[in-house]
Amino acid sequence: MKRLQKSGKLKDGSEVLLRPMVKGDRKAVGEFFGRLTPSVLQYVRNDVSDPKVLDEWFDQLNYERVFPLLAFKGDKVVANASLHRVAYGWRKHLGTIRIVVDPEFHGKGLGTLMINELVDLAMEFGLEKLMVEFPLKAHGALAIFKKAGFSPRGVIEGLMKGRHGEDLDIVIMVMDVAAYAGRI
Amino acid sequence: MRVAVLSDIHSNIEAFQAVIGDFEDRSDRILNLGDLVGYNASPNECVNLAKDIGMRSIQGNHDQAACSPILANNFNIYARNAILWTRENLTDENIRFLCELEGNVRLPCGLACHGTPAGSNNYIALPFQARAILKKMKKGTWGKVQVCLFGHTHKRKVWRMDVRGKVAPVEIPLDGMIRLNADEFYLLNPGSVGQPRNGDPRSSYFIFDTENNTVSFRLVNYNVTSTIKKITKANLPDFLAKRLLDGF
Repeated sequence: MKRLQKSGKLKDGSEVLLRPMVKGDRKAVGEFFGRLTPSVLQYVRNDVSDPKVLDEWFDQLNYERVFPLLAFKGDKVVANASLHRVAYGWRKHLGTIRIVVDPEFHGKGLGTLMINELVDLAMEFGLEKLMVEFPLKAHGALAIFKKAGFSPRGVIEGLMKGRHGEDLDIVIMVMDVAAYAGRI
Repeated sequence: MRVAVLSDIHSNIEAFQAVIGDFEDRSDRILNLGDLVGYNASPNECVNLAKDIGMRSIQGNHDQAACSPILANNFNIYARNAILWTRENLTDENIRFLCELEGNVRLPCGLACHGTPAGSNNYIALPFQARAILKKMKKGTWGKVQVCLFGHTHKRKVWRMDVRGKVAPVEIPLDGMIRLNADEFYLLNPGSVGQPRNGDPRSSYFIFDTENNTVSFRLVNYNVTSTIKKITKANLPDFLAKRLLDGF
């Protein structure tokens, strides 16, 4: 298979390469998470500072379950987004998005680029809705997901805990994929 | 007149041939609502067959991208990969054929387009989208048009605006036959020949009888295994092969 990839332009005019994560990316992905601070890593669902966790990710790569999309600047991974799917049942039509962007690349349009690609892929995969959840205080994320066509559907106060044990309010945002793709 | 209306053949020669075999002498004309190429692995075979049978074709967004590969940057990673492969494998003559395809086509039986009359990249998938197009048809935005034929979603569908202006989908009966009322407005999507997404892997199309004002939807089995083998041999993504088995 020829490499599945495409380039995208950031706000400053520079280019990044977007492509699905493959087994050979283990080292670059490890370095990416290694560069992130604990304040960023606290929102990542798995303990990516544990090499075993990353090894497991790469051993179990299955695009039908989790489609992991990486953004590269040269050889360096600068963002990691994923589209999670369930093969059957009441969540079959629903995809969940997770995304982590290198803080050095915040405000450059990289998050929007990644989310837009996952939305297009969701349409291709036949998903009808997309969902994302994150702390309400992450105003940047709220703006990016709104721009991508998501709308806030609920806030659950004090549902999560921060790394210092403080309560965190969570916002749930949802997108109707067909409605967005069919904008006229 | 009986018009066989096909859409989204997408380089699937086995499906295309099976559909032609299905309507045989039951149609006077053949109309393709766009996307002759893309996704699957037989682009030249499909273009050659379209030429051989004199099929009138509209230019879809994948046909456009095969002509101007820069447009592929707007596609997702899978669709982009497949259309760039298509471009590399099409003959010059067949690229020219795709570049010269028409946009919207006005026919005695209605207006034909790929996505919507406003653009080949747009979708009619949800009620508010159907309502917007039907309202414009009623207003006469595209002249006097009672019926609009569209594709792009890969899902067979009928939307109707009744005399009160109410818009609703029309259920396609088991025998596939729908009678159109002369005083109502319709959006008709035949589904996809080469990559159906209705959850049924069979190729989908319809025959529009303009004298009796009926539309007969048809579902056709084809040799999916052969199509999948060609996709694999071409090193196109596995995902594009697997989806044909499920029809999504």
